[in-house]
Amino acid sequence: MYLSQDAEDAALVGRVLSGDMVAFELLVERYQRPLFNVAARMLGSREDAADATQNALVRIYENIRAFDQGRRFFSWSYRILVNECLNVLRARRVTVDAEDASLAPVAFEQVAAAERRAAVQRALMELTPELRAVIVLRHYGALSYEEISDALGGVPVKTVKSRLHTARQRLGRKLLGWQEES
Amino acid sequence: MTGHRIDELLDAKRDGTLDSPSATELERELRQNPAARRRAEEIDSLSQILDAVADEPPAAIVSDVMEKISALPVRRPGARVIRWFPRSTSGGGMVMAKKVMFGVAAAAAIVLISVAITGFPHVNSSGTLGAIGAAKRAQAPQITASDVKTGDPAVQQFLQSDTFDRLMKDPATKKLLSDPGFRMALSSANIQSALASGDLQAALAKSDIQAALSSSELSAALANADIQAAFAKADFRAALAKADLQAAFAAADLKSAFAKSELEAAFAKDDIKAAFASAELQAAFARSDFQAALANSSFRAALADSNLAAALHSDALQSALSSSGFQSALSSSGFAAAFSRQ
Repeated sequence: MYLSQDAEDAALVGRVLSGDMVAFELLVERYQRPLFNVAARMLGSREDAADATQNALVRIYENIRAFDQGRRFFSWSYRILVNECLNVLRARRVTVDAEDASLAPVAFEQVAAAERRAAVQRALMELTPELRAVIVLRHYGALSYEEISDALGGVPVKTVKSRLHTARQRLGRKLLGWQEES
Repeated sequence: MTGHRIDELLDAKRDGTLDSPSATELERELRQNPAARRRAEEIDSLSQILDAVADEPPAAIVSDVMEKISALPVRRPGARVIRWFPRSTSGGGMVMAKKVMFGVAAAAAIVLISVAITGFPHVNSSGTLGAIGAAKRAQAPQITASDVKTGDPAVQQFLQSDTFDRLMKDPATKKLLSDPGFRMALSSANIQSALASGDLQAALAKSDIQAALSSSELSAALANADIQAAFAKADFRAALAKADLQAAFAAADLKSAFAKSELEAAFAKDDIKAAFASAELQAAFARSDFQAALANSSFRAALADSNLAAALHSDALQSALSSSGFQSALSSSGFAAAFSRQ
């Protein structure tokens, strides 16, 4: 599946490079959801996530000539998105309210679900940005360890594995009552 | 086995990258080691919880991004840049076969109007297709009859008709034709090639075509972004240049279909406009078998039938034809082939 998707991405990138904006629109449609979800979990705000996703996509277009076609388009895209999110977090310099109402559904019958969503987002926001980026890229971007390493600017794979494990432990303890590892 | 190692094996299994020795190792651990089984259950539970907070992105992300990109300055010397127009998302890319035909008819109408008003293609004194200064023309604030520089008698006749006069006074049409992006799209080689067709230009002189063009519904459709978007599609433009399609436009029974009030009214429907934006429609235009179907006389005769046109205009039938199953059928090559065998 990945190989097929990569080939389609490569073909679309080729069309973009020849000036076909419709091809870029197709790439945006293909990746907007995972990119937005990574941004939403990184930033804890639907509005900020939408802005970061848009900015990242525009930067992807602006820099697409620099894209190494020997790499996977989506992992390269995540690198740009993560940088955008980290910039937002640096600029923000304050802890985001993890219970951002914009990320929660409002229907009465979904109150319980909304509470769970808020709890998950709060737990994510309590992680350091480094740990959060790894778990979010792994889960919402479905990136491999190597791709996460690439998206984070060359962090060693060993570090990725370690951060992912740590992030899972902290989330698990917070959300599922996992015990401390012995 | 450490927690890190079991995590790594479980992630590799999820990615589909677990090699055979590692798969054996994981199976053994899960079978023999309660801690490994517990860890697998934990990671699965955590994944489910994280899944539960996944969001749908705002609907406007795609259009907002594409509009921002369209506003960027051209950075590559000599790059061909086609302005992006928003594609409708209503109906989830819905297309139905008969709407495709309406689309063809509307496209033909737009082309004919474009020939008449924008003067594409310019014809010089020797009668050959002349080049157009697209960028210069794109900056023109408004189009006037004096913009037309063609010696074709059919076009001249159309310019002198009441239809042309009404079109020139129609705000929606003027707005569309003075749009730089639309005019830039018209400057593409494929469009110009299509417009060079004698069949298309001759069609301008036909009274039934002119009657169709004069409808207010069609004028409104011309201002629709979805229809404009169709001109930004490479497949659509390429299809316009095909001889089969041009022959279909020129056929008497298709032109007769234009003149039917039911079809004119249908142009005003949102879902028909949306059809222009769909990838399926673009793909259909580009397929040779579909183009052959358009040139098929029995297919065109069916289109021109009053009962069919009336039926297609009914909301109930259009709703039924909007089903995903029908859309899937439309996108198959067998569907178009079936038409061409009629």
